Amino acid sequence: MQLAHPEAWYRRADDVSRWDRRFEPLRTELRGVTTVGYFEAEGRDRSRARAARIYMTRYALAPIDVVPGIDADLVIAMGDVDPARLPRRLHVRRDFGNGLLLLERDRTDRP
Amino acid sequence: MIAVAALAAALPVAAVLLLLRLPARDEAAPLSRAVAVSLAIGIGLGLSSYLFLCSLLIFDGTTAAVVVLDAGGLLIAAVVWWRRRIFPTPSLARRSSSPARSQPKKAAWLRQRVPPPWTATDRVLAVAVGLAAIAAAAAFTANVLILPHGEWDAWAIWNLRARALFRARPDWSLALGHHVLHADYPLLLPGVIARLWIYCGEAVTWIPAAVAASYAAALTLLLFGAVAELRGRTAGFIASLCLLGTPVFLRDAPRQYADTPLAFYCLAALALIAVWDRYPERGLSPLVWAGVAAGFAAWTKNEGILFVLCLVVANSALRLAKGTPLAAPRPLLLFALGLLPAAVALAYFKTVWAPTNDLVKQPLTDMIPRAIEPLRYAVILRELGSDSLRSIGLLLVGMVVYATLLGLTADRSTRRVGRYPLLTVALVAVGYGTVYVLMTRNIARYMQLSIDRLVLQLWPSVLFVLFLFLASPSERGAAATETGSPPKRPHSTAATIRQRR
Repeated sequence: MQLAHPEAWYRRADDVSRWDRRFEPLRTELRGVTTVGYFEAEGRDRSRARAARIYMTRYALAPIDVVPGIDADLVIAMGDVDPARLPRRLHVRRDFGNGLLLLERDRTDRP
Repeated sequence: MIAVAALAAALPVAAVLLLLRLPARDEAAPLSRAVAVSLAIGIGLGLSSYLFLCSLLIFDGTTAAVVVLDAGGLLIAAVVWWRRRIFPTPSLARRSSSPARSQPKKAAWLRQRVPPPWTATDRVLAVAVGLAAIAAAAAFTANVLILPHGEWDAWAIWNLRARALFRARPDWSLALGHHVLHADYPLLLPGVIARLWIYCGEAVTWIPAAVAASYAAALTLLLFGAVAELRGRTAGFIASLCLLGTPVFLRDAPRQYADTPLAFYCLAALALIAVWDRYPERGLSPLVWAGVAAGFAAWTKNEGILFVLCLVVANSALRLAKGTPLAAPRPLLLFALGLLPAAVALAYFKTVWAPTNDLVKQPLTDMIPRAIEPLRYAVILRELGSDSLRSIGLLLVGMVVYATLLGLTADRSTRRVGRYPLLTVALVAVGYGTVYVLMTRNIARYMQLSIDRLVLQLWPSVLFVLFLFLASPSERGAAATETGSPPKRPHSTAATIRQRR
């Protein structure tokens, strides 16, 4: 049993595995999307941890190209983002909980 | 799933093993079993990456195309092997040299090829290597269970690229236009992993770990085989024991970085060239394989491109030193033939997909002031010294003691063979230093993040060169038996200096 399903016999507790599990519903939501923006609430922590989060996000969502900034039609928002104070012309498409939101550009603002 | 992945890995490995172990045209096998098996693993995995790239370019990486190309590769290798078995032909070496000259040389070589009986020291060392290998495997497994996706560069570069290639098919070009750290790094490792995931049908985490373990095992076996081939079994065991006792090797393998594969290909190229140089009677096939290994080094990481350049520069320098810059072009051509497939893939990747390299895109006005700042050189030496202690640890002390006790080998032909790998390794080290000098403002920070990996890339080759130049314990024992006196150092450094005076 363990040899047949080596992935299933223990639940991994490392950061990347937890990140993978957390982003699994988002990856399903983004099926067919090629590029997505990435935006973090200001002042969370050091730049290296911030860089790690964006790379873990790219790893979890590959092959979707995760681009820092809010120029894409769909934007991942991380951290304590207040839905009432979102950047202009973005609205919440889905809240995945635990500080992970998918924002969508208003249709009127798209090129 | 494990069986499918094992079968998928076995296809290219078996193809390379068949080609490496072609039925000999002479009475002797072309390469020892340890060297052939280790090369089959490393070069087979590299070949699988290359075939995967072909399947992407021609058939958009469909599963059927991947399987057909792999099976085709094995079929071609089997046909070549079968043809050689049925229709043996005279060897290149026999055709290229006069029979009167080659036969005594070959007879002498065949006498050398008869493996000496196992000594008590060999048995003790074999047990020690076995225990060290078990300990290394246990440490690897523990690390992989804690960090199954590897460390930073694994999930930010190599496994990320592999996931993107696997999931993006048939629009695989999406994976290469990605915002990835070091997007100009070549695709050998991501290709190996993505291809195995295609066979498994999903991106399971243990595949990159299994690939990392395969390269680490193949590297250890190759070092043993190459040193044993040139310096005897005892020296081979000690060399592999040194590698298994190197902290940076044990740390890096479970990280799932590309440095262990690169170290494998560098050592493979140097060892095969040395084997050809030492035993030219075997023909020129080791040179073709050396070219293949060098090509895969360049297809693994940018540092591999520097390695290939250093191979060429070292060869030219030694030819100029001998005053024969244009003599015997055939070996060079055969090496280039082996290098060609990976060079074509690399040229395609670098011109079509890769962004400009960080070093190359820097303006000269930034680099020149860095190059003339003496403090930067001091920082490089300081960081190299402190990291060598961290990466290699007490083993350095052990190696100094070993070298002092045994001294240099009295075997001149082996020392002559060692010059080329020694010069190449030295040039690569100088190249790494030059990149550090020119690359970035904060050199200490940059080195702290990367120097251990560069040490690992060269360390197996450094061990190989060291064991070429040092006397082996069996050589020392033989010298003692001949004189009937207590063993003397065959060619200690002090004795060499005295002789020169």
